[in-house]
Amino acid sequence: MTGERAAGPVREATDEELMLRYQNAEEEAFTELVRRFKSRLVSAAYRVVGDYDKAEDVVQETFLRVHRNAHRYRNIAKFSTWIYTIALNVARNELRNTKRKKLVSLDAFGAAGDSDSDRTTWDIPDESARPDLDVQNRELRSIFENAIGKLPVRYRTVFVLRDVQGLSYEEIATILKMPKGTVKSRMNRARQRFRELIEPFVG
Amino acid sequence: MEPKECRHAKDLFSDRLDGELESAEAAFLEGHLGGCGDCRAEWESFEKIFLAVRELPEIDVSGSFETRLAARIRLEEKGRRRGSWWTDLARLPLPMPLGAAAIVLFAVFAFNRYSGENPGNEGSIAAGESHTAPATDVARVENTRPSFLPDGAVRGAGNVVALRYGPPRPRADLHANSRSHRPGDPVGVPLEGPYPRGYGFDGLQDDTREAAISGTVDTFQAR
Ligand SMILES: [Zn+2]
Repeated sequence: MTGERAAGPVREATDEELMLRYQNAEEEAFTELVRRFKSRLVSAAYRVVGDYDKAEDVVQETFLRVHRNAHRYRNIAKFSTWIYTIALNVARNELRNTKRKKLVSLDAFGAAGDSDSDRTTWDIPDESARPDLDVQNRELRSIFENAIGKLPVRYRTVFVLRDVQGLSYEEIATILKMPKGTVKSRMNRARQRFRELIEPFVG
Repeated sequence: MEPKECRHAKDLFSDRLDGELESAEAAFLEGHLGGCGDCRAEWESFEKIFLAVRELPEIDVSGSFETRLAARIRLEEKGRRRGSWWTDLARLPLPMPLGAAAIVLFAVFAFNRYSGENPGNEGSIAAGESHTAPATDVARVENTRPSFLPDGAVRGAGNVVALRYGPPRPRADLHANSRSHRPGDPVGVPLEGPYPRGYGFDGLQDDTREAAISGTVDTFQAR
């Protein structure tokens, strides 16, 4: 089986080719897909769920589902769209579960939860610092990351996919199963909200 | 109060950044920015911020990421090889307790129907009961007859009926075919499903996992 494969080195194959090769039980193809997507997905998941360990769990689960459902993949969709869809579903489940747990614990104290904001702790830098707009600057990075986490989930997801991950509107529309126009208008509001959130900290 | 034109101009910033403006909108915005210093300054700051957001660095995974993933996949494969009709059914995107209850009821029905000690109509009565009663648990009834059954419906030992809210008392022989569910485990909760529990993903429940993946992949295929 392995001998007759004329597919060439995995590094040169497209994502879609790799997935088809994995369907033919070529393990190396899966390893290459993991190599290509792991950081991208963890970056996206981290910014959606706001917790590094959970983000890694989300991506582990995503790859596990890719493995489990490899036979279902058809070369009519971009592989990246497919895997982002899975990752986003897992991430949103994770958020839902976290929120449920949080609401339960808040209920115990008779407090009401903010239904839109999912993170509990905020490491807000000093307002007087006003760093340059250079994300190599750690302070600015943390201002940005915090602001992303404070976006309502429906804005946060499109914001992360578009501005942080650089996906096209078409791809985001497919991933989130909503019309492109909806994605764009959410993005518009997400950016406005993001600006309001960082305004106190960025000159 | 901000002029209407300025508000409209700012509303187009996002599309401009993405290069998604239609020509009429683009012409309007160019014209407005040429004449309105406030909006021009706003645009410059807007552009700067979101170009900076795009520079947010990618986050690296931890060193053990691949090893852990490989271990999970191996475990899953091991589970799949040992898999039986039970684990296959457990993969259905039903909410887990419901799915498990359905499977147990089916097993009860099958047992009743095909076991030699139970001729006649008891099997169908038990099965009929299981359709109408909001049964959450299944118990084996020995020489007793629950009051909601018609007279004579259950005779003697060996009848299995669905009880409303009865205590879970699983029978070993009901699960003889299932290697993922040992006798003595509470019915309705597959303790040892196809996915290893406690392996770093306790946050997600099986049913939500499966719902997510089936929702995803199936729609994808249909496209
Ligand atoms: Zn203006």
